[in-house]
Amino acid sequence: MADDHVDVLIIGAGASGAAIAWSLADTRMHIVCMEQGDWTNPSEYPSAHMDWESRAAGEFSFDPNARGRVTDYPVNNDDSPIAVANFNGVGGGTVLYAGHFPRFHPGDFCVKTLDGVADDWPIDYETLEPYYDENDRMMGVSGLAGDPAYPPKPAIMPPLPLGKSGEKLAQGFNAKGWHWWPSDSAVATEPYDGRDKCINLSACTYGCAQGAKASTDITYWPHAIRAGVELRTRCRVREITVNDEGMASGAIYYDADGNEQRINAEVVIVACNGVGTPRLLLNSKSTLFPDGLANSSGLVGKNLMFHPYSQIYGTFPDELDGVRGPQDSIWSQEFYETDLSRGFVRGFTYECIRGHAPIGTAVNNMISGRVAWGEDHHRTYREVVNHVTGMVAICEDLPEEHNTVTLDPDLKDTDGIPAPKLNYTLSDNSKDMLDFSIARAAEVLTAAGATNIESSAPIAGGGWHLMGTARMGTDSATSVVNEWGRCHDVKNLFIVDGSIFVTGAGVNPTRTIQALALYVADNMKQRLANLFD
Amino acid sequence: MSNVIGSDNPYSDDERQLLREIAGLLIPASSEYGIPGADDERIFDNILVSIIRLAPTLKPKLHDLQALAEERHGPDFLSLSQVDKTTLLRDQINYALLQHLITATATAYYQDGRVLETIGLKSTPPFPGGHDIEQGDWSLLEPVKARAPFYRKVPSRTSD
Repeated sequence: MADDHVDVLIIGAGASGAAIAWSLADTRMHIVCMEQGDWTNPSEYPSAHMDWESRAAGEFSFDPNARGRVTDYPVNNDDSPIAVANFNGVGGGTVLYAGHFPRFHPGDFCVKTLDGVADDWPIDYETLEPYYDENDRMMGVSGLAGDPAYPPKPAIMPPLPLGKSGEKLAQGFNAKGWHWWPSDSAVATEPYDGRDKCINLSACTYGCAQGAKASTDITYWPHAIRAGVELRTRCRVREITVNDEGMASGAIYYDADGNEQRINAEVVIVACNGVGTPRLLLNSKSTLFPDGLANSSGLVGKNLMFHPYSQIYGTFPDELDGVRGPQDSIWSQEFYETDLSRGFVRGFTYECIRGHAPIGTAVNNMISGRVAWGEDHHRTYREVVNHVTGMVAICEDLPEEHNTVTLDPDLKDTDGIPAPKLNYTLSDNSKDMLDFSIARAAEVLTAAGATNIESSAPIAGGGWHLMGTARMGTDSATSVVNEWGRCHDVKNLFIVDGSIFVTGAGVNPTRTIQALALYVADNMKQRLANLFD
Repeated sequence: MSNVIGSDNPYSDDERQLLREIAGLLIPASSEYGIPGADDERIFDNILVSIIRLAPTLKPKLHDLQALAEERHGPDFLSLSQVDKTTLLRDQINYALLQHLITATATAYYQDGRVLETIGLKSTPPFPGGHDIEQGDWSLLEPVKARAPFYRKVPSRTSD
C-alpha cells in the first residue's frame, strides 16, 4: 500500500455510496469505495433456513447492538426512545430494509415556506425528479401510476399483489373515504436487470434470498464494478485526513486484520448514513479542524431526525396473508399534508404490513396472555395467526438542534474507534402526530371489521431512518454541505447520505437518498474542471 | 438422536426431564390438528439448544420450582397432577421462568415443518419456492383513482 493513491475515495457501500460510485464511474477516474462490512451471501439470509425467525433476531437483526458482528459498531441509545437500526456491509441498510419506496412530495422541500417550521431545502422536487427517475430504473421499482397523492411518476413494474391483507385494509380505507394506493416498492414483480421476481418469501427485512428486493449489492454494485469502480470490503475508516491547505487528503483505516492503513485521495465522499457520517467527521479532528471535520457551523451531529413510528394492528375473523407475501402492500397518505385542525404540523404515511410471522405471533401473544398455553393453545393460536394485519405510521420528525449524535467517551468498536452516542427526545408535535395516527388507523381497522386492535408508539427499535446530521444549505453558518453536497469547509469533501437532509418528510428516505447521490454525482461531473473553486 | 452433545449440555437429566415436561404443558400435542407437542423429541432438542446460554438463569429457577412443588404438595413436580403442575407454573413466583420457557418453546415449536403445515405454511424454508398469494380485488381502487390530486403544489425554485 506504499502508493495507494486514488482519484475518488467513497466511504460506505450502502444506498448512496453505491449510487454515486456507479454514476461517477463514467468519468474513468480511479474510484475506490471502502466498506467496513462484507458482501453477504444470499444463502445465508434467514429465509433460506427453517429457523429464519431466530436468525432474523440474531445475526440478521437490524439492531447493530443485538447483531454484534465484528463488522458492526456499537451505538449508545441510552438517551433515546428510538434505537438505531442499520446494516454494515455491501448494500448497507438496503440489505435489511422492506423496500417500501416512496418519493418525497414537492412540499417536503419547502416546509418553512408552507408551514413556517424548520427550513426549506436549497433544492426542490423538480431538481431531483430526473434523478428519482434514473434511480428508479437502476433499482427497479414496482408500483402503479396515477396516485393522486403525488405528481405523475413512472411505474416500471406492476404493483405487488394486494393479497387478502391488502384487500381487507383497502376496504377499511374505502369505508372511511380515505386515500390508499399500492405502495411503490423496490421489490421486483417481474424479472428485472438480472434479478428474479418476488416469490413472496415474507422475510424482506432480513435479506431477500430470491434477489427480488433491490439491495444495492445486487443493483448498483455489479454495474459500478463492471464500469471500473474498486470496492474494498473490511476496510473500516477511522478518520479522514487533511493537508496543510485544509483539503481532504485521504483516510486512515483498519483492514480486516486490524492493521492501520492509509489511502490518499483527491476527492473524498462520505456515505455512512445519518449516524455513521457525523461519527466519522467528529472522529476526524485535527489542528485545522479541532471540532471535527467540516464542522465550523457546529452542526455536524445536530438536528438528528428519525421517523417516529406508531404501529396499529387488528385481528380479523377471515384468514389473511399472515407472513406469506412481501411485507409491502399498500400505503395511505390521507394525512400527509399539514392540517392544523389535527393538532400538529406536517403529517405521515401509513405503510401497511401484511401480517406477522408464526413465532413472533406465538411468543408475543402467549406472554401477553391472549394466546393460551396448555390445552387451549392451538385453538387460541389459530384465532390469531394469519388473522392479523395493520399498519405503521411513518411520522415526519422536525429538525431540532438538541437531538444529536456525539462520540461516546467510553464505547468503542472492535478497532478502538469511538462509537456514536444519541441524545434524542420526541417533540410534542411528534407525540401528537403519533397519537393521531393510532386513532385514525383504529378507525380504518374497525371499518374493515377488525377486533382487538392493538397499538404502540414509538417503535423503540425503529430507528431505520437516520437524517439531518450534516444538513444541506447555502449558508455555511447554518449548514454543513452546500446545495450540491460539497462541504462548505472542505472543498473536496462531499456527503451524500441521509445526513444532508434538511427535513425528513413523512416517508421512507432511501429513494430520496439515492436520488440525491445521483444529483450530487451529476453536479460533480458538470464541475470537474473547477470542482474545488 | 439428540442434537445436543452431552458435554455441551449444562442441564442434568432431572432438569432436562423437567424442562421437557414443562414444554409439553405449554404446548401439548393435539389429535385434532394432528401435531406433536413441544415435548416431541426433535422439537425439544431445539429447545434445549436454544437455552444452553440461559442455564445460569434457568437452573436456579428450575430448582425453585421443584422446591415449591415439594413445599406445597409433597412429591416433586413431575409426580403432580396436570392441574397442580399448571397451577404451580402459573404462580407469580415462576413468572420469569415461564417467560423464558414460553419464548424458547414457541420458537422451537413454530419452526417445525410438521407444525407449520397445519397453519398453512410450507414445511420447508420460505426459499426456494416461496408462497402463493392472491392479487386481490383491484376494483377497490376505483374510488381512489377518481380522486383529484391532493398533494400541495409549490412554486418551482430550481437551483442553478
